[in-house]
Amino acid sequence: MTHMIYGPDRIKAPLIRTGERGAGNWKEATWDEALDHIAGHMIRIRDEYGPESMLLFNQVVGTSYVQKGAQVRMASLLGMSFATAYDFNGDISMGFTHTLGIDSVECETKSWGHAKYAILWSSNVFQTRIPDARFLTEHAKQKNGCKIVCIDPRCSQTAKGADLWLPIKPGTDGALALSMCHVLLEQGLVDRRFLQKYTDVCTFVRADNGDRLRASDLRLGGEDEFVAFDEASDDWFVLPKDTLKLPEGIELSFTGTRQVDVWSADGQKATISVTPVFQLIEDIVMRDDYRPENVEQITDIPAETIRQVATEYATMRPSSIIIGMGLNHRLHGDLTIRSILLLSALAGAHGKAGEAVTIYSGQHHFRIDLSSWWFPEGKRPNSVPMHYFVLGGPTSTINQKINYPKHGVKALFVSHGNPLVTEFSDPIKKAIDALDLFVAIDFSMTPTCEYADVVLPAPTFWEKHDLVGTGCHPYLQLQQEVVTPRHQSRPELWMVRELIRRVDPSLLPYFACDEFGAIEILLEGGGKECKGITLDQLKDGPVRLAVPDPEVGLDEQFHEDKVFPPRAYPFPEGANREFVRTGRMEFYKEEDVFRKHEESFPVYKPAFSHLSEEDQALPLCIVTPHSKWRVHSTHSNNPVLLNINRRPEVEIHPSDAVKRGIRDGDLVEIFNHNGGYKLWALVTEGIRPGVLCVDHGWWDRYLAEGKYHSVHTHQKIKPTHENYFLPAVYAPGQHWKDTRVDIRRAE
Amino acid sequence: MARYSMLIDLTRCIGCDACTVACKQENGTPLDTFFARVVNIEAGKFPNVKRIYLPMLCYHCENPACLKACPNKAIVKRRDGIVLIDQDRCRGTGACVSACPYGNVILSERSQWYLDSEQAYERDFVKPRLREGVARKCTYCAHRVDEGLDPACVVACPTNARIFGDLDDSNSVLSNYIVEQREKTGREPFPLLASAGTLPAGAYLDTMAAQESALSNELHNQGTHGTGRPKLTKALFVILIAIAVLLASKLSFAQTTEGLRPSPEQVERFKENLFSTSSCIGCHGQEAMGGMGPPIAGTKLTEAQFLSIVRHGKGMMPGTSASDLSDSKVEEIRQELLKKPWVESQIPIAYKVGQVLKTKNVAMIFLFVFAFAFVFGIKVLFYWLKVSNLAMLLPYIPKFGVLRATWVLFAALVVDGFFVASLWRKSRFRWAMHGLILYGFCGLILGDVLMQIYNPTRGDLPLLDPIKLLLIASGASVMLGVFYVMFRYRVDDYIDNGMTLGRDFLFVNLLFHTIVSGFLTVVLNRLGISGWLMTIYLYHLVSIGLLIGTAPFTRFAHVWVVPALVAVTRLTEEMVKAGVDLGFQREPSPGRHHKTVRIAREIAERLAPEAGENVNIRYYP
Repeated sequence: MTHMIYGPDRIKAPLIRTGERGAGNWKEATWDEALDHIAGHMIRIRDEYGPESMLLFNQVVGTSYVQKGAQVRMASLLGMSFATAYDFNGDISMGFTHTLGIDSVECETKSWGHAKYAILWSSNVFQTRIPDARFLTEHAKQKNGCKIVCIDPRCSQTAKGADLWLPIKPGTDGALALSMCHVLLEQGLVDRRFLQKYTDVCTFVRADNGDRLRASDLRLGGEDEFVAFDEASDDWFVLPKDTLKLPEGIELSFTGTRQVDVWSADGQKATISVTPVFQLIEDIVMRDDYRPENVEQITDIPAETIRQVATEYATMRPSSIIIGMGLNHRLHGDLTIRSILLLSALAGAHGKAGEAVTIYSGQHHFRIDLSSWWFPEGKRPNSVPMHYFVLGGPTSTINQKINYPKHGVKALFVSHGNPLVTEFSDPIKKAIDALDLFVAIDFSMTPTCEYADVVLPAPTFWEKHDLVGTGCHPYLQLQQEVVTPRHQSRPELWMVRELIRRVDPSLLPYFACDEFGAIEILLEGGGKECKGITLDQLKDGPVRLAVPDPEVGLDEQFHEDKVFPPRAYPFPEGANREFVRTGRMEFYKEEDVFRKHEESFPVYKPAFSHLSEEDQALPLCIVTPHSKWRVHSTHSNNPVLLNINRRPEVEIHPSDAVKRGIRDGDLVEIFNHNGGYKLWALVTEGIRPGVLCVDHGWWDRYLAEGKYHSVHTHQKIKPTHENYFLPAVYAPGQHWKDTRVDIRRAE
Repeated sequence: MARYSMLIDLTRCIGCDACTVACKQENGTPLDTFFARVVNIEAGKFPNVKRIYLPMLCYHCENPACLKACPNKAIVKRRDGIVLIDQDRCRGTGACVSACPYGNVILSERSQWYLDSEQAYERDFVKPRLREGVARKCTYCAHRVDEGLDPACVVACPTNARIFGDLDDSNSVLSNYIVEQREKTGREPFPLLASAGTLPAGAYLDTMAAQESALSNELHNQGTHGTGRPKLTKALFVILIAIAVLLASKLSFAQTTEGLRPSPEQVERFKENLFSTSSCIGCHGQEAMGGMGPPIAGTKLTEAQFLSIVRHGKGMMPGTSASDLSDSKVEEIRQELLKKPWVESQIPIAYKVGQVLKTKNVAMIFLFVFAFAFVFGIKVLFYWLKVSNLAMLLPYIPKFGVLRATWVLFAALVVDGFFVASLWRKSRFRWAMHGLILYGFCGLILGDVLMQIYNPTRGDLPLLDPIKLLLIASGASVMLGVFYVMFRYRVDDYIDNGMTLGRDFLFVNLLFHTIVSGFLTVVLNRLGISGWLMTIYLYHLVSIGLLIGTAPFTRFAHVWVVPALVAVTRLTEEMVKAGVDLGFQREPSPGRHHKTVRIAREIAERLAPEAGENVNIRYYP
């Protein structure tokens, strides 16, 4: 990818805007000029509005523990606000957080190779996990004869390698998952051993107030302890809160409503009826709504196929589900994922090589504890989800833990992010217009940089040292400088140090080290996973972390009986415990907000039901998958890739095209009430009628006209995502796939 | 000796195009030039759609069409099987572009590079290896292979779908993989377009999902194990050459019997009447045909018939005018000859042959030879047009304009065919050397036509007659050209590309023999040295016959094959430029869409037979 380094869009020197924002008038500045300019603003804003009025937003920290970590370190030390990219990118999968207490779970991709059955649920592994796809093709398929099922409205690249392709109606995946649960329950393909140990389905729900029955209610234990009924001893059993291990011979009750005497906190005794979660779930799932024959109407997947896939999933073991972002980028995506997790729990398909529900998303999952470098002396930045900045301020339902700057955001630092090439480019532009200072740090002159006040030239990946890790591979790797930083680009650590020198020289000692020093700090405080790993080892190549081989996902829970949730780096142990109080996979959410929205159980809610009527009336939905030619918007301007993938196209089914007089290759306009943009049509049999597909990340300049994804600009936060707050673990996600549009031929 | 091959396992391939990009990165190919590519095929109708990814690259055929089509011998097959285009020798004719049935050879007039600035890699490595205006293709990364490395696309493939190795080494990764897959998954390597007869070294393994329907009884081992067809062809040529040589020598050594030699007195008498070499006596008297007169003795011609023959010539004999030989003299000769005894057993073979070689018979033989050559020439032409996949191009021609297409083809035939523009552009010297033969031939043909018109009896013309001059000059030109070629064969060992040598050799030698024997005939005739004249003349005739008769199978064929292929290439280029069809616009390396369509259909038939006609190529995204 030498074009990243030598390409025409490379930023050569610091730039300071001289005209209007986005007008393209720049002054090439020296580093001193640029840094003085920024520091001047920073000091003024800090003194006038407080340091939290300066917001740092960097992509993607998981790939840059040191350099982008240095920016976080600066934010921590100055008390700036910090918006994690992970949740704003929509990668956070709240369905996982609701169920497992952690935002997403990945098994090591090597583990896929052990599967004999794999459902790729809206996941385009062949395109978005290219280096790992071989675990499916070469290992699972070729060696194990694994059967691969691909659920996707379009015949994706991955559908190529699938034995079965289910072209599902977009947004109906939740119904499909619950229908598969229906089949498992109907056929008794339920793994009760697994359920009673690892899930909350044996806990009881009180009929009187909907709370979960606690040990304290029965005076058997504390308020944070939960009970199940042991049929073997015919007595209540308090689920251990620090281990998943159950005594030998225990037979927890799954069904049957019981009458029980409970004591309230003030000593009142009452007789109430309580029902196991399993029973309640069964009541819902066994409803006629979820019978495959009825779900066929919703999903357009034949009932017999639903039965077949469900049965095969439960019986052809080890079986895996890999979830893609198509499910998650929906307002009700959390419900869908909860339903899929329910399916996997019913089948007990977890905890073995080749058995897991995996959702790989973003490069967020930190492999080690980064606190020692990012949060010196326990100082943390003021975490604010980017959503609220984009929305122009906090919502009425904002979690009280979030300290939104009281004077609003005055300065924004975007590092290696390209938020103006996301589905929310318009509201972001509006939010930026209100800023005093907008600094963009990048190596390529992106549309976001073009809108900045100051642009700082950063090195590319090949021009700096860093420490990187990723969710799907339990390794630490040293990123090494193989090309001397070109032009005037400087590593982020250097930039941060120079800014600190100007803004608050007393903090300079925190940045005295170089990249290797930072890595030493990281390795030292990294925790048990990186114990014993040294810089010298890293210099020889990637080093495997001290984790099971292969990592199957939730290893501590399934192998060491440690209660849920697993630790969410970079937060301390227990920071996310309140998300799953039972310490088990939770399929019942007792919090009021869930009950209010009727989402206590995994249920199916039609994807577009939350849209306005006029939006719902639009005939087509649009999906925006990753492109294989880019990493989001990076490489959009790569001349070689543009030579192969020459122009943005919208995939459209012939039946939709014919209706609108659109022929293959025509210039077309996608539009709705939010706006529209023009690009070219690709008429193809490989997509469901009623669905359009535009791969995301095209810079505006490559479109025929308009702004990229201007049709998507409606932001909404689901109240159940605001119930708790832990940056990038429990935070609002995105739902850009819920957009409805129409298309017409452009003249 | 190694035999490199690449096997692509379609079960493993995920269509990520890492190969496409790695190839670009390694070879630094310019805009629109893709040595490696992945064809993205959609087969069927929703919801029964199958997506097929077919990674394509040069297959380094056992019997490379490009190599055979190249008029400049710029394409070589190395001993290890790698087929390379010599960027120095290539004159950019474009024949190979059409000749490759897979569309894997790329020729663009000008190279556009992605970046304005030139880095060391481009300057020192890429650009010296990729010359402007010449044909290029995948080299199997020969520069890497020579260092013991795998090709870049193989290294880059994230799913190990590309297995590269030596077929001749039973321990190579490739050989092992083939054996392993045969045993474990029952899959056999298969080549693309087996019917093209190119015997690609690169082959594929089926997608395992499609395995059951795709695995037929036939073993697709052609791609990896040669059937020996080239060897057979070579043997055929050797036999042909042997026959030609035998025939020629038989005729040359046809001996007369002692008793039939004329007596010294006879010779003296002939000498007295030695009017000129341009009479029958001129030949017979000078010991041509053994120095005897059986032709006349045996024919029992009437006086009028004899006179007519003498006056107008017959067969190989020129006519004689009355000023050279009066009627009475002619009759005197006839009488003299009639007295000659006729002893069957003593008639030399040459005479018998001569008897057969009556004008009518010679004409018939040549007609037959021409017909044979024509039929097979057409067959050869059609073979190449089929390989070039002109058929798939035809449906687009109405969109492009039939007249326009005709004009493009005609212009190509004239400019690239007759005037050999590619040679003219690259090297005037080579153009001139090539012209010696090409235009010399044209001169000979023109001379013959003129002769037919102005001198149908082929009576001897004065040396300075324009037709005679034209013929002599043309003959000399061809001869010079042939000498140059022979010289190049001697000094330039690189000229042997190992694949076409037999055909070249036969053609050049037949041409050499033809032209030298023709020249000798003229010279001996002029000098009046008639002793070997007839033998050499016959030899000349036989050579011409062989030259023409074998033309479709020798390098002679390039006379019509190369212009035809070049014309197809030009037509394709023009159609691409005109943006006739979306497929052309989208195909990253323009000009091979129509070939890709054929391949897509073939692979879809194999992997998604239920799709029927609904096969579409999606170039992107």
